[in-house]
Amino acid sequence: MKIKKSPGEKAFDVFNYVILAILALLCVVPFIHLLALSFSSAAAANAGKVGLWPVQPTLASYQYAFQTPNFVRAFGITVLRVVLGVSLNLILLVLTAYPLSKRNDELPGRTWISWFFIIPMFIGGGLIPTYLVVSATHLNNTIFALIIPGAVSVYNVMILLNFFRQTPKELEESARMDGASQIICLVKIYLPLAVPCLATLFVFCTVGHWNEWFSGMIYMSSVRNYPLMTYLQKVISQTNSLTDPSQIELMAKISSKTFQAAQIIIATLPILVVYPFMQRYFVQGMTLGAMKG
Amino acid sequence: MKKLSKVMALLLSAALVLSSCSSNGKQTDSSSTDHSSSNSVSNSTADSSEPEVTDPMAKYDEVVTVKLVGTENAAQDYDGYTTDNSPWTEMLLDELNIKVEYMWLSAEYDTKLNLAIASKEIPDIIRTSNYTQFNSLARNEMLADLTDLFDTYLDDHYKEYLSQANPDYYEYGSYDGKLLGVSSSGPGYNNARIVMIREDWMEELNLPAPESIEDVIDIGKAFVDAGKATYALPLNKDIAVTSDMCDIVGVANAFGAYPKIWVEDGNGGIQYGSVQEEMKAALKAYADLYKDGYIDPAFASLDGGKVAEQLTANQIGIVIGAFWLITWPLNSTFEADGVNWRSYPVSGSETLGTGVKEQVKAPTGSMLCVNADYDHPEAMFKILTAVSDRLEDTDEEVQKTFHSYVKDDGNTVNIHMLNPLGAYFNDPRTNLNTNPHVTDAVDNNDESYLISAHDKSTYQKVIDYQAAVEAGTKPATADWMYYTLFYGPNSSYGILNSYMDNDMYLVDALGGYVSPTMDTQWGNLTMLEDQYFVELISGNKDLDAGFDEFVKAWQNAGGTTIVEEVNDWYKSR
Amino acid sequence: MKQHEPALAPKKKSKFARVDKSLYLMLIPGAVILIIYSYIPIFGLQIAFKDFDIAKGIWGSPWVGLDNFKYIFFSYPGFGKVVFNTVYIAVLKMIFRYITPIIVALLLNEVMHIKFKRTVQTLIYLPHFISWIVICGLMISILSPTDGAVNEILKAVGLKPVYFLGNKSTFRPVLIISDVWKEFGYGTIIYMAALTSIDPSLYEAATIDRANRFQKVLYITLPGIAPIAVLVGILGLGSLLSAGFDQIFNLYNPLVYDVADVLDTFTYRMGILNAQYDLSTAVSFVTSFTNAGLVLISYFIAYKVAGYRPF
Repeated sequence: MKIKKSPGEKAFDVFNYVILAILALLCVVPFIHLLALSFSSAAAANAGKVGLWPVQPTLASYQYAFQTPNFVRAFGITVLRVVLGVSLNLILLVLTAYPLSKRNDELPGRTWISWFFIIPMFIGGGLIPTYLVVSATHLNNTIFALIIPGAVSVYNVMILLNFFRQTPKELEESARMDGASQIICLVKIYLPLAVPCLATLFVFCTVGHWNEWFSGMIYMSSVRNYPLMTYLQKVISQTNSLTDPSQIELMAKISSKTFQAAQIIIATLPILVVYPFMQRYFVQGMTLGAMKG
Repeated sequence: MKKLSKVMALLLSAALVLSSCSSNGKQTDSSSTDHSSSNSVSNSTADSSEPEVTDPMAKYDEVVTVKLVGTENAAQDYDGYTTDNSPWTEMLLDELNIKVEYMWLSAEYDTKLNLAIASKEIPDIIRTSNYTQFNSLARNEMLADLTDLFDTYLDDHYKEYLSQANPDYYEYGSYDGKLLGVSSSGPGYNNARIVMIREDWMEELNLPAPESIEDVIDIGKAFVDAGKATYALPLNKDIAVTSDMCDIVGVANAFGAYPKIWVEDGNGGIQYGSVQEEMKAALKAYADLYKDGYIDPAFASLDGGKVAEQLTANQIGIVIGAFWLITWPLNSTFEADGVNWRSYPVSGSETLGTGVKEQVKAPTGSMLCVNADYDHPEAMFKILTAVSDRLEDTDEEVQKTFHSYVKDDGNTVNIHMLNPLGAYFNDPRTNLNTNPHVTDAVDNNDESYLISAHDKSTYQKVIDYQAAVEAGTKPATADWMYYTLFYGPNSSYGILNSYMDNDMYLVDALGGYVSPTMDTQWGNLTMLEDQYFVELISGNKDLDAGFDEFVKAWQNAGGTTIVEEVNDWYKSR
Repeated sequence: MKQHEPALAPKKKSKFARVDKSLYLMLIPGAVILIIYSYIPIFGLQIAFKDFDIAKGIWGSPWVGLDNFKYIFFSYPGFGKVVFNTVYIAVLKMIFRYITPIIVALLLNEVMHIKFKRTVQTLIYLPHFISWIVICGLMISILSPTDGAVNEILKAVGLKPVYFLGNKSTFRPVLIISDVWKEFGYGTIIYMAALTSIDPSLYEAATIDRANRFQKVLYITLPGIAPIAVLVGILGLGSLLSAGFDQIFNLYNPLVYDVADVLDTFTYRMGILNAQYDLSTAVSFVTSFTNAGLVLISYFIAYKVAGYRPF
């Protein structure tokens, strides 16, 4: 279908491509600036001379970041948190979504049970009551405070539940006729078919755990127990004191600005690396989540 | 960072006091492992129902675990030691069979302790950070009664220190007639404001010494105008929190205003300083500077560490704060560029003249207490005594192990800052006395003026400093610090002594009292006050109208009730 | 237990409605976590009506009726402003977050060059996945009044530097722009999906009828995404009190509290920093229930208008 374009349409095309290109660039330019900053010298950074390319390139900020015990530890804690947290998320998601995807005659009382799971989606317990409960269950200062209280994401349960419902009933029914239990049905029939959806939820949970910082801030007393984003939050809102006389030599090479940039870059890198691979899944998930019903 | 630098400040000030033994003639022999013999007990048989205590410092038969919480200070170089693994923890285990365990270590001690108290996850020994915390612990019967233990386990000379620092310490730590807490601080005489100005810039611009606060401000402006400095005075987001560093207290005092403390009103009552009319003049001074670009426009997002960075980066030439600024961060500028900071007293405004008073905080409510459920409440006194003894010991080896030592790379490792409870007893007069002793000794070349070991070590450093200057070489930074702090009437302590001699101290009249309404609403009023002050300085609100609005809002939000309650209490005392 | 139905029974009734108890067992772990960490805190909101005493805890503290609410609403100055800021910021974000993705999706739809389209999409989705912490750190650095890149540019073109995060007139625009920047790309996904489901034959027919491009957008594309757009708009109403804690908390400072302090930040300062647990919870109580109400209303409207059923 080749149709000759009018001059007006051509002008619009040019305009359209330019606008979209600018929008797209706007989304990455700040990160490139930060990257440049992280590789620049303290003097150039403090003088505001760094644009999109490193000035007086140096690796000092990265070296110092990798020598900062709290930063390295925070990175490790976040990795552990993602591994444990996402596993728990997915297990609970499947266990919760599967029964709720059944009809009322398969799971008598389903309506009431559903409401039980849905209500927490609407109403929260507030900062202080939640804090008091988490500490009453002795999760404070353990990694479980970052994992357990938010382990059941009702929103994600909804996504998976709707996906399960789209699975043709016939498969299950014939298996059930053959005497298979629900657990067998879940494992043998539903889960293999739900892999794309689970991949999406895996992406959501991973990004969620990687980026989450608030629970680290209130449930962890020691910086030693901070996950990465909580640690970064402190770095951003407070100063890394580079005033110790023993650090004078170092201060010539890095400033809190370049040091901060390096830490932010390191903390963002994992997301950037997996981002192209996960794009397919989150597009899918977004459509699943929003188009349901 | 604010908290961090505050803690650092306290510890640094303590460090100076304790860099040597006090002079009251107490015998210590802590270089020997059998430490207990050195402590005599005055009334060990106070109560017949108690088992007789023959030796308060006796080693426990079995390992006793004590759970603590502490301040984390990651910025410092401790040569691999940490609060939970230091010569202190080793010593306590070896000598007393006390095993120290930390539930947490945080840079935000106050906040985390609040939360810990709220969730009842309190340690065995608690160092409260304010009186409200102490009060709620005491009211809820969460603290052990220390009345008898205090007599039995604490050496008299430490009690003497306590009463010197704060004569009311016993009432202060008591609740319902029982002693529940040992106050670990007195009024902050040491932390009164001193004006510190860069000598090199003063000389280059040929500026005379300031005689009023207006002079100080003009010098700050001159530094900026001449292109030396970026800003005239430092200021950070904690302006009204009295951080001892970058707050407005020094300037406020010069205008006869006393933010954050309660002052007598002349009619037998007391009033809250922040809401008095005089505050306006102090805020105006800063607002004017802000308007003309002499204050960092981003001050409201800066913390203490950032301001310290500005000072070390040669961006500011004046700081009005506590003496310890010389030891951090101003020492960096000496280390790097040999910059000398001269100290001046905070003098009054041109209108106020010499009537100026320097405000100091009441005891901060930092109190050592024991969890009511803990089986070995006496362990607190044992730890305190063991730590304080070590830090009073003049023996060089003990000093190196427990106070500080210099690493191969030249860094000083301040082991004393890792002390397990974050507090210990020390002679509150040591520093103030060192100033005249050392000055006399140096001026008359007569070492007989020196009394305490602190005097002697300071004297040596001052001599070294002078020798280096005479020889035309750059003095060691440590020598410079001690010289600047202790030698002569214009040293930091010379100035603090002059405040003392001229009766210029004004101590918070409220002491540690917390009225019922204060207990529930003081935090909100503080929030309100801090925000208004920022807005008034930054010109977001018109000064006159805005200040009146603030006073009104403060009164409506509970201020009026609190003033009444506080005055009822004050008059009934 | 239901009886087996004959094999030819109508489809709506299951052929094998025997209940498998293991389904209930599966629900237990999730339910336990929700009871402990969601339901108990919801009941814990009663602190709002109590004089919270740490020793007595949530359940034992004495009731004080509405005292905490009275103090917050009537005695504490500036609370009205906090509510205003919350709604103001949330509404502006809602509007821009709603409109921008639609426009960008329409523009993207006009792009024929597939590779260009894919690249743009990849880049604009990216910020959504970056934590607010990172983005705020980035903004603080770029917007710094002394050495930030934006102010360097302003200075280079002869303008005066602006302290964007410390200025009452610029703070809220910065909040809204950065929020839109972070989320607009992600918001387009749903419209892009809707666009692919428009029947291409409609466009072909329009071409034959000599409709120009603008007319096609107006009469085919827009109606094509209208149902989704309406639905997204209605569901957006539920976020009327969600001004964005993560973003504001990491950007604001006392200079702009006046225009930036919102319910969530206020709750945090009051509760965590000032240890005023009962007052803080009183604010939480109001926020929590208003939010629930708003979401329910939006779902209800969505159900009525678009037949939307979330579950």
